[in-house]
Amino acid sequence: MTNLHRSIGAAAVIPLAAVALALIFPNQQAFLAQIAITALVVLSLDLVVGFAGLATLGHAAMYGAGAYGAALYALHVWAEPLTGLIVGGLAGATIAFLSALMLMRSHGLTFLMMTVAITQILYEIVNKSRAVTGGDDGLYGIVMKPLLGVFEFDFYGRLAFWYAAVVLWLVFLLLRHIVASPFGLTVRAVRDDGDRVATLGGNIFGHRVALYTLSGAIAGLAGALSAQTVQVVGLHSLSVTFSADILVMLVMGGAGRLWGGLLGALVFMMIHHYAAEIDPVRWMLFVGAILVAIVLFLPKGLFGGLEALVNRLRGRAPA
Amino acid sequence: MFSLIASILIDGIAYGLVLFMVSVGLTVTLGLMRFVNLAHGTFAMIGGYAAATAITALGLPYGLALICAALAAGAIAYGLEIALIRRLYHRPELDQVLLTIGLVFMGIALSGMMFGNSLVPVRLPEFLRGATDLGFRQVPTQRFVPLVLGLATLIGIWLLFERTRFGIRLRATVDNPRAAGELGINTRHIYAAAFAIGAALAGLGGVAGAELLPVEPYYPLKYLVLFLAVVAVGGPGNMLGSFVAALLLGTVETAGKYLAPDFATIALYALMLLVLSWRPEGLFRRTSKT
Amino acid sequence: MSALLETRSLSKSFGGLNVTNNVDLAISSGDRVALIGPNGAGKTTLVNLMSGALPVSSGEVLIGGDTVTHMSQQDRAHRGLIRTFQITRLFESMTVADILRVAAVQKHKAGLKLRWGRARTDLVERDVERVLADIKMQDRRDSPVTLLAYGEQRLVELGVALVMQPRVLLLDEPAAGVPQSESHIIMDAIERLPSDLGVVFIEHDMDLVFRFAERIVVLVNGGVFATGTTDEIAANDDVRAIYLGEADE
Repeated sequence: MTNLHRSIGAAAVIPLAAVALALIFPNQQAFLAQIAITALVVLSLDLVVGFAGLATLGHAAMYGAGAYGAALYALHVWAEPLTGLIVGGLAGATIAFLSALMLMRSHGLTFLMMTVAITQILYEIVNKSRAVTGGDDGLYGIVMKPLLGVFEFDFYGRLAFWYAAVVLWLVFLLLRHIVASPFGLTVRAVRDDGDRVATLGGNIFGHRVALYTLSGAIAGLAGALSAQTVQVVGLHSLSVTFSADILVMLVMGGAGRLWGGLLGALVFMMIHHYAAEIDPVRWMLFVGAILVAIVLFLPKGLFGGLEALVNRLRGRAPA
Repeated sequence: MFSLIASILIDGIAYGLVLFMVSVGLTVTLGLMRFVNLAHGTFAMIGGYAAATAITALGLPYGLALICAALAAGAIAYGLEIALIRRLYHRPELDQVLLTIGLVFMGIALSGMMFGNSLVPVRLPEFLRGATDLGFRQVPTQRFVPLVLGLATLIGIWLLFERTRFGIRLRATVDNPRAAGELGINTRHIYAAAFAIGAALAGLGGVAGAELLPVEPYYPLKYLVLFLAVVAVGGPGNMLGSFVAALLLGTVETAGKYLAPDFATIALYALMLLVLSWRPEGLFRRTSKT
Repeated sequence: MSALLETRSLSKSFGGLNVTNNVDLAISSGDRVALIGPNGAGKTTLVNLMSGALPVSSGEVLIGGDTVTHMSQQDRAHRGLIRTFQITRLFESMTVADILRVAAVQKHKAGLKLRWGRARTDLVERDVERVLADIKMQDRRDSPVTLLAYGEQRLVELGVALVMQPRVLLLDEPAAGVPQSESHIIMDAIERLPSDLGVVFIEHDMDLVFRFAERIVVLVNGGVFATGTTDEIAANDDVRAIYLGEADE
C-alpha cells in the first residue's frame, strides 16, 4: 500500500465504524452519540498525556467549560448548534490558555496537582454561582434549533449520533495532520527531553501553551456537543472523577496514538454500559484491576497490543 | 476575637497534624524514592478500618487498636511493595500514576464490599470522650489525640532518620542506590521497609484523624489531593517541609471554614495553586548535593 | 574582530562553593580548544554557564561581541552557540532522521508551524541529508535511536549539533562511554568538522586532546590554572604535577 492509500484508508475508518455501529445498535443511538463525544474528549486528552507526556487529572476543566459555555449560549443567546459548538470550543480554549500560563512551567507531580487545583476551583465557583449555573442542579431545558437550519434533533438521538460522529471525524483528521506537522514533531521532542529542545533554540513554554490550548479547544467542543445532545449539563462534567475516567480510557486504549484514544473510549463505554448496571462497586474493582493489569502487562494499551499482534501475524518484527 | 483565633489555631493545628501523619510517608515515597503513589490515602483508610474492627469486633483497648492500625497498614503496604510497587520504580511517572489510581479504585471497591458504604466510627475510650474546658471554649477531648500522636510522629521520624542505622542506610540508598548496593546495603529491603513505615504512620493518622476525616470507602480518593498538596507544597522529600505545609494548609482550610464556609475549598486550592506556581518545587526544596 | 565566544571574569557559586572562578576565555573562528582538568574542576559547569543552562553568579558571556549573559539557552542557540551533552540526550521515541529533523525544524524556527509545505520540507530535508552524510549514517536513518550502538548514538548527538550549523560548538566529552573499538568513528567525525567552526571540547583522554586541540585550557578548582598551546601545556611542569600525573594512575 502506498502512503496515500494508507491515509485514505485510515480516514475512512471512523465513518465506516459509525455506520457499522448504527446498524448493530439501531436502538441505542443516544448512547452511541455519548461514545463519540467521549472519544472526542479522550482524543483531546491524548494530546496532553500522550503527545506532551504530562499526566493530568484536570482535563474536565476544559470539557466542563465547553459544556457550560454552550449551554448558557443556547439558553440565553441563540440555540443554533454550530455557533454553539464554536462557543464551546472557545470556552475550552480560553480556560486552557489561561491555565497553561500558570501550568506549563511545571511538570510531573506539581503539574498534576495544579491541574487538580484549577479544576476544583472551577467546580466550586460553578457550584456556588447558583443563579447562573444552577449549582448542583445543573442546567437543563436546553432545546436546540435544527442543525444547519434543516435537521431536527430527534428523541432517539439519531441526529445527535451523526452530528457527534462527523465532528469527531473532522477533528481526528485535523489531529492526524497536526501530529505529523513540524509542531507535532517538536511537541514529541519536548516530551522526550524538553531541555534538549531548548538547547536547539526551541521554545518549550510556547509549544506547551499552544498544545494545551489546542487540546482545551477540542475538549470544549466535546463539552458543547454533550450539552447540545444530552440537553443537560451537570457538575460532573467539571469533576476530577470525570478527568480520571477519561484518563483510564486513554490508557486502556493506548496513550500517544490517536487510534488508542478512540479504541479506549469505545471499549470502556461499552463495558461500562453493560457492567455498571449490574453493580457499581464491582465495576470499580474491575476498572482498578484493568488499570493495574495494563500498566504491568500492556504498557502500550489495547491498540499497542493489537498492533504488536498484527505485526507478529504478518511475520514482521514488532515496531 | 481572641477566642475565634484560638479556636482556628487549635482546630487547624490538630487538623494539620493529622495531615502530617498521613502525608509524611508519602513525602518519602514521592521525594526520596521517586515513586508517585496516589494510593497512599488507602493506607490511612486501612488503619481506620483496622482500628474500628479491633475495638468493635475484638474489644481491644484504644491503644492496642492504634498499634493494630499501624501494623495492618504497614503489612499490607509491605506486601504491595514486594508484589507490585517495586516493579514500577524505574518506569515513567505516568505508569506509576495509573497503577496507583488502579489500586485506589480497587481499595474503594474492596472496602465497600467488606465494610459497607457508610461511615465507620472509631469508638473512643471513656477518657477521650466529652469535652475539655480551655476557659474560653470547650474543645472535644479527642482533638488532643492528633496533637500528641502528630508531635510524637515528628520526633520519631527525626530520630529514625538521623539516629538509626536504618536512617543512614535509607539516606545512602536514595542518594546513590548503586553505591549503597556496593557497600552491602540491601537496597530492595530498605525501600520496602521505608514504604511500609510510611504506610504504618498513615494508618496511625487515619485513626487519629477519624473525627476530622471520617473513615469510608471513598476516603483515598476524597482526600488524595489534600495529602498530595501537603507533599507538593512542603517540597517532596522534605519531611520538615511537609510538617510546615500540613500546618499551613490545615490552618487555612480551618480558618476558611470558620470565616467563609462557602469558600473554604476555593481558598485551600487557590493557596496551593499560588504556592506551586510561585515555587514549583514546593516551599522547601530538598537541596541535594551536586 | 571580536571573538565568537567570550567569557569575562565568569564566576559561579553554589552555596558558598565557588565552582567557576573568574574565567576569561575567548574562542575565535577555527579554534580547537580543549578544556581539561581533574574531576570536579568545573568543566561541565563552565559549559553550562556558556550555553545558558545555568545562571551565572557574576561576570559576562558574549557571543560575537554581544552580551548574552542573561539570555536563555534558546536565544543563544539561535545566535550560533550549540552544545552537546556528556550523557547522550536524544529523543528516545524517535528514529535517527526524525531526531535530526527536530533540530532542523528548530533551526528554521518552524516549531509552531502546522504545515510542512514544500519549501520548508526542502530546507529541513537538505539539513538532514547533509548531516547524515557528515556522520556517515545514511543507512541508519530509519533506525529507532534506542536500537543503535552507543558509539552511533554519540554520533547522532554530534549530528544534532551539526544540523544547527553553529558558529561555536561546545562538546562535552564527545567520546565518553564509547568502547575503544568504536571510538574512531567519533574521532573521524570531529576531524571532519568545518574548519571555520570554533570548537571547545572537554576531554579526559590525553591522546585525543593532543590529536585535536591547538590550544589547551587547564581548569583547577573552577579557575583557569594554565592555558597555552599543546606543546606549552605538555611542557608545563605544574600542569604535569597537578593533572597529567593524576591521569597516569
